[in-house]
Amino acid sequence: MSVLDAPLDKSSEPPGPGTPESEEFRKPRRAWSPRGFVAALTALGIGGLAGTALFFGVAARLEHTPEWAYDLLDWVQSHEWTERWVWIGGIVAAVVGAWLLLLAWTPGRRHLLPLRPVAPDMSAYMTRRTAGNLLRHTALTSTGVLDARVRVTRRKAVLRVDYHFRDPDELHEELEEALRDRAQSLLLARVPVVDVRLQPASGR
Amino acid sequence: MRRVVNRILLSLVGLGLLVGGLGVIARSRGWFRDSLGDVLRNPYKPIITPSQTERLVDRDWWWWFAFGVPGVVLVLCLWWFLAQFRRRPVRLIRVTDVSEDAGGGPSGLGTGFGLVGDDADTITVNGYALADAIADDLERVPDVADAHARLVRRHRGPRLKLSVRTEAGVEPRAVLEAIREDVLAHGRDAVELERLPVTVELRSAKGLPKRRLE
Repeated sequence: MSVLDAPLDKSSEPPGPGTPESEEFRKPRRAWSPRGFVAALTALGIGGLAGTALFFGVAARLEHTPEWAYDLLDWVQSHEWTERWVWIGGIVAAVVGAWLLLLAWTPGRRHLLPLRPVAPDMSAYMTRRTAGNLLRHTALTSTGVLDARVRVTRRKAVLRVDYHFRDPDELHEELEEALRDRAQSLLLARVPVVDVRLQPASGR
Repeated sequence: MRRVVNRILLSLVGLGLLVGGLGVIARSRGWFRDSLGDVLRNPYKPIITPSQTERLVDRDWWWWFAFGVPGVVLVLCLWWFLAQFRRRPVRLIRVTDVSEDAGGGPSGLGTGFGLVGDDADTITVNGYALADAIADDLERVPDVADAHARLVRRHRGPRLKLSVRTEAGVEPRAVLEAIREDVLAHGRDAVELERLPVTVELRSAKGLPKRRLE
């Protein structure tokens, strides 16, 4: 199983839907997390419950039931449905269940932005921070720009730019054009809308 | 595969918890409609009555149920838990030997040593070694500061996972094209793979641009 034969004989395989000739290879998709940690945690929890139930059964059969199992049975038999802890427990279970459903149905890995691939069998991603750094890098090349703080989401990039000794309107125009070009060239599957906010470095 | 299984099982568990939790709340607050009968309507009852326990234990199937269901669930959960830690590295790739020593066994020592890859005209390549070589190749691409490569076993052959850290202000298209032209082509040629699907994660350093003095 660990040995992989080089699939030379598979050369007759059709090249798939995305032909390498066209510039459109595979449709870039968001990175889906395997949800390994949540799955491991859930498996541990449910396995623990099932193991406890099994332990009760075996212990009861062997007539070595632990004291706290009787206490638990007593508690369940002597408390009514209306009690506060019953419905609080219900709320907790419902919230945890809704949370698990949310985790199961959303992609996760929000820090990765999909890129348009440049090869047929390639899927490429860029972190949001990287996209922010590259945009910031472009903003800093303009004269008069002191610093820029960037926030990138899947749809837009907000740059707060500190500047001095420049006409703000002119700088805004220049930055907007440069950043729009840069955002285009980043290969992002969804080109973010650039929002430039100028802040004068002095006179706040 | 693991991703799909995890998400299906998480959906099932989540749905169960949500429905169960809502059911407990409804039972506790007395929201169940009249049509469900007296058993479910009266919230002023113990959660489990002793008579219910007795009736349950008297059933034939009860002991099968009480041991079978937790047992099956326990085994399933154990498998699910352990599946999260299973790694699928590519350990060996077999390549046809086209050198002049072909047929001489590994390193041309002759056959019959009982080593892996002792077949007449095959060389075996360690997957880790190939990944390291690809990473080294990648670090030689201009503007790449640091690179990690990993080969993962998939149904149709190995898949390459690259994590690339570039210098500040790099053009992503240039890096990706360099990966396609040089790195992937080299890697595929080296082990005669027809195709080597790749996943790339780009990161870049936070750096200052070179100011142009005018």
